[in-house]
Amino acid sequence: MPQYRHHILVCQGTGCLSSGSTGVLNSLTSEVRSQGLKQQVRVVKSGCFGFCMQGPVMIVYPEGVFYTQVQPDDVPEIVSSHLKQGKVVERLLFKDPETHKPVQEFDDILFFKRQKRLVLKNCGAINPENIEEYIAQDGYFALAKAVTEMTPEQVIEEVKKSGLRGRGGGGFPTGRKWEFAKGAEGEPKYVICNADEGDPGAFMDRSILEGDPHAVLEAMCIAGYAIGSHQGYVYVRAEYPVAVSRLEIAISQAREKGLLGERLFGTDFFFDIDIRLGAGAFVCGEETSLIRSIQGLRGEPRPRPPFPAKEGLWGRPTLINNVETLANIPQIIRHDGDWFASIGTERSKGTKVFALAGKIHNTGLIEVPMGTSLREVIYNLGGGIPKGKKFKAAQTGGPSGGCLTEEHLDIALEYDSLLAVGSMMGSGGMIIMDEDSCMVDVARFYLEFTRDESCGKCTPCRIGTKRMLEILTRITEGKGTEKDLNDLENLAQVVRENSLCGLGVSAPNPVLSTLRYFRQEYEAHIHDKYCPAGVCQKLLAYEIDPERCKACGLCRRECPTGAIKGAPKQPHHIEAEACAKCGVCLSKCPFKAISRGPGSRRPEPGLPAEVAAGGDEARVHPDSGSSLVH
Amino acid sequence: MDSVQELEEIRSRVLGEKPGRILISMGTCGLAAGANSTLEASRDELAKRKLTGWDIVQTGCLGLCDREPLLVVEKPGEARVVYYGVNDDRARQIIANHLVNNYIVGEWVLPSDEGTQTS
Amino acid sequence: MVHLTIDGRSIEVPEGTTVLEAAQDLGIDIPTLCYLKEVNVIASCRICLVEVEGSRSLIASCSLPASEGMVVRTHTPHVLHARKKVLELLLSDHPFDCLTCFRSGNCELQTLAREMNVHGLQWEGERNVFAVDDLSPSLVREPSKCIRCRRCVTVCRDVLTVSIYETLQRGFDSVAGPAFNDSLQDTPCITCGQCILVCPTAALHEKDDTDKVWQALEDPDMHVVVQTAPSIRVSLGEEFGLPQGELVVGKMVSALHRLGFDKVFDDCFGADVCIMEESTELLSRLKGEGGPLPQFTSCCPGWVKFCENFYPELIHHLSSTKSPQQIFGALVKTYYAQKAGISPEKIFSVSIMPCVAKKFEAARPEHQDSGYRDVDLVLSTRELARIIRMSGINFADLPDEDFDDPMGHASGAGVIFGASGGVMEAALRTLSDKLNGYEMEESDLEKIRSFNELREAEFKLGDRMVRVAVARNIGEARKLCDRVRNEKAPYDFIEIMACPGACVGGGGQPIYSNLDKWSLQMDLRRSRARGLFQSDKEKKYRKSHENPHVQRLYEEFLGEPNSEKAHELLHTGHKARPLYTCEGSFAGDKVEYRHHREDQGWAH
Repeated sequence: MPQYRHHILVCQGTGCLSSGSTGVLNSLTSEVRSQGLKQQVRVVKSGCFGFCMQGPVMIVYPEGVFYTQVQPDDVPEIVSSHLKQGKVVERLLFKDPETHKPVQEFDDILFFKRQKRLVLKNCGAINPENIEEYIAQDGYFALAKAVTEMTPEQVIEEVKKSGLRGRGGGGFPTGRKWEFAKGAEGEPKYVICNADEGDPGAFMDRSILEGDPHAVLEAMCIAGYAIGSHQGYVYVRAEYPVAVSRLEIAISQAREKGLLGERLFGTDFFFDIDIRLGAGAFVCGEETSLIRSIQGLRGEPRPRPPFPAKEGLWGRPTLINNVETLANIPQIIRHDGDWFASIGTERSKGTKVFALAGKIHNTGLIEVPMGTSLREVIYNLGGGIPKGKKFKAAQTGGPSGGCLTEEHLDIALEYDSLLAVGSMMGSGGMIIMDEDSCMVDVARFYLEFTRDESCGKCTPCRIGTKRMLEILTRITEGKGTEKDLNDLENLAQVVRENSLCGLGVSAPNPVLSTLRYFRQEYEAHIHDKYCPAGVCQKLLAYEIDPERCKACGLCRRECPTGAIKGAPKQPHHIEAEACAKCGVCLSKCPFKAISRGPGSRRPEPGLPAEVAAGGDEARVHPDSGSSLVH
Repeated sequence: MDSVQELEEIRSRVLGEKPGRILISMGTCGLAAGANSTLEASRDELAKRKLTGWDIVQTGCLGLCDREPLLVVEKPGEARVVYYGVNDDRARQIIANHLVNNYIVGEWVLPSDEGTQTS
Repeated sequence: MVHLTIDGRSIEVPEGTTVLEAAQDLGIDIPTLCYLKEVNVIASCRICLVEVEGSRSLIASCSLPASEGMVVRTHTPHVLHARKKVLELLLSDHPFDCLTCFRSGNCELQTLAREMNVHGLQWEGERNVFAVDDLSPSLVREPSKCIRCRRCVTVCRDVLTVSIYETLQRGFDSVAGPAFNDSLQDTPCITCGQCILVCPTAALHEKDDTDKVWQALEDPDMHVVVQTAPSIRVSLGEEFGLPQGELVVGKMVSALHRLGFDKVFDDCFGADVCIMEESTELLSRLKGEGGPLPQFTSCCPGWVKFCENFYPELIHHLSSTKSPQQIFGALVKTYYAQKAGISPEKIFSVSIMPCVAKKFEAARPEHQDSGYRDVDLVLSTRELARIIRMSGINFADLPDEDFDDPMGHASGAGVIFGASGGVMEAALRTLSDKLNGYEMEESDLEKIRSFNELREAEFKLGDRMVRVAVARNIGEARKLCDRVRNEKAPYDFIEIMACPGACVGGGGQPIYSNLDKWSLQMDLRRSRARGLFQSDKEKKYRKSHENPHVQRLYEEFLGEPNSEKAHELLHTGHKARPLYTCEGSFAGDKVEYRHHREDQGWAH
């Protein structure tokens, strides 16, 4: 039996027959024979493909090339070009009048067009597991330039000129950090890449390491050259397995190519990089804790000074830069500092990568020039809020940051403007909240995070975050008092001013900023026992729709507190006082008669409405209280 | 690596002529959305159709984590096309239509206004 | 030198000086809690905060290096408010049982709360409650009282190299404790009790055995005898407001008589006997008989346990001679019982020690060579002070009294046992007399008396040179042991005491609640040692073998040093110990506890 190289299906359906496919079939059969392909090509008559408008049609396998409107005259070309030389006859391919030309070229897609992708340039464009693809995108040319054409001082000068500031959150000028590390006495020196990204909802560094690991390695080499170090460490979370494995591959490929190791580019400079895995403690993103962790000690901060640039890893001068900061370096060196400084704003240069999460259409990663407005990010890049809901707030800087509200939509995203309104740039996590988000609950969420992640070394953070969380929990459970609100504010100040490291210092930020912009929500929880967004479980009201209730009694039997009352064949009802808001009834009701909602604003129990509302007169006559209710 | 020339040689070799490339976003988000099976299906389909010369490149995240798996088709001299939500079935169809028949499957192409506010 | 201004006053200090130290030089007292000079400078408690001009937030002064032109303010209303609020937070996670607490009256936290004028807490909430670990015969750990200052961690790890403690868990749940929060009993804790001395609260304290002494004193059938270690006579006065290191031996004996002890003996007598035995043993080792060199002293129970735990291969270097306490105990129930005509089962033998490891030593199962428990009860200096106070004795005004016969008289050599280098010196005094026929020069002996670093010396004894070394604490002992193990320690005789400065600085000694200056502590230890050497000088006999009471003991009872009888009663063996045991006898798990806000008081 012959092994055919091609099968050709020629449609012999009614439609194609009427447009002349018999002629095409005959022509094809004879052409195949005459061009000596009989043993290699099998022509098959097939049924209708359903593409009668474009007939006669044929399909060439194995590729599956689909030719339309084929005329007998076209057949010789198909045989000689496609079947013999493997070149598809482009002019006979199907053309969709609508989608063919106005194709969305990658760079035309507004999502990408509106970004300025420097750091993310290679992410999604090259194979991170193949060093040659990185090199093809000008990779390692910056390192070559630095070690063969520039002095360490010149490298630092370019970085200083670029105005690059630390992308990990603090925004310290990178060039100055390098300068300190270079000037520090002691040998050996170390370069550390901080890839301990821990903010909930932030994944910028992970994406860079996964998509373009060589950019970070190249930058570390350049930093090593600039400060006089020969060993780098990437401290990366073990929870980033893909990033870790790509880093491992990248390091071994760079060593193979001689881009890490001895005598780089024929010079005397040598540099190597190793990976150190973190175990997922948030505090290890703080540089002194990170250093202790690399040394195998408990991950905890120590007071600064001395700064790591002077006394870091193993007590030696150490330069620590965040992943995104480093990823900017090769391009700064390849172009120059002025080029970089032309992007962004007066005091914040370059671009910033943000991770969009929460109530936003395009959950994902974007990179924009510093100074881009929040509105641009949320609406033009993030695609706005899903389901037509209203924007309420954006949390930047994760658990260390604060929230931006509607009034800040036109704020320029840069270090100083964010600090001015009580938030911070942070590492670039941005969580969007809509009208369904309760800001007290949001603050509680972040406090729970920092309480859990506090290392426990210093008093204000260890006990302060715990006490703040206790107060916030009380408020969200409807047990808060006016004193709690006052205590919370005082406590936030104490924790912020007196903690040992950045974790504690910034832990109260979500509370302080939600208090600043959404105080009325706190007050609603406290005074009215009401959660306006309908989020706080303990403040929700459960109701039975009498129309839908079939009086089956299931909810009554399941209710753990016996809050549901009702007789057979009579619609049941829930006694609000007894209800523990566990939600069992809701999940059990077969008729969907039970609903949950924010309920209505309730006065504090036992007090007349006027008292709860702050009426002074009623407070004068507390005895008359009960008679005033209802 | 002894000299910049070596780097330059690699660069020009990699950038040489090719029928085209398929890029599949395989960051953590892509992997979570099933990019691995997109990759396997694409490889399988290319082999089945004997489309040698085409490279499949695993890349990092493009930023649209919500639309993963993303697959980009690059043909020299032609538009770079981004497909979203590419499961293995879509991957096979994209290869048949776009690579073989130069027919862009508009339905799965990331719309150009992606990122503008949706009403 | 750098110049800075603190509270408007200028000062010049050497580079590297901290702001806290500079302030102390100016007589400005910045309160601290976690700070322990040169040992624990971790800036964790946030009490020593100060305002520095140009700085956004307050800064912990303990770890802040003074820099040129710095302007510091230490007691502004802002600083005071911050300190007070931090302290309130600390107190909100602390049991309020001050009335019944071990450290009531000299608790650093309590003192600070009083100084900072705290009269109520702004924030209350859940507190950490942990089970109490009292399984060790020496130490009790009450983690609920731990304020996470970590002094125990650093002292045990960095000074003593025993490393029992580490911070467990993290955040609000964190606490300092042994691995897995196991009982100290299941760890290689050497029970030295240095952690007790540095603990600012009662999270660590000695096991209190005062009830047992009252029971014995109350029993009319019991003949209660007591021996007092050398160091008690130079530290007990401090508990009653007398100057540090003052020699109060007469008052101490007088107090013990008044408490109702039938006989008050001097443990230094046991020390003299110890020297007789130990120096004889050394002589035979020098002759190549009876064991390897160097010979280690074995009178410190913390060191003995350290060796058994960490260097089991070196236990044959340990002198087989018991400690003075156990020698004394064995003799009380044999020699003394026989002499006094009292049945040993009717004798209750108490010892007063500057040490909590001695409680562990007395409880070792092998120490019953008299046929009974050789020492029935060990009290620390602090416990003795406690029972004196309970009895309403006005210590400072007591007349001097003498120890009782026949075991109450010691040579000066026995007395200096309490100071670092003392055991070595006592042995050398006797050996020089015996082998050289002349006394050693005081100036030669100074070499081993200093309190600093590892001391080494070489002495001519008979026809050979003998090389000796004295380790100032167990951390140095570890280095020495490593050298001995690697055969790089060319010594014949090594004195090792676990506690810095030896027994004068023992874990059972008085605690100072302003002990945030480790160097001051060393001064304290030195002044106590001076007291001992002063007592030594005043003694009629200054060498153990010249003590007529010791001579009589050998004549009447033991025969020769290292005789068969001496071996039976005064020598012991040592055994290798596992580092960690898994007895599973203690569950130190956190007890879930919620403080109810409705409560007016502080429920426990």
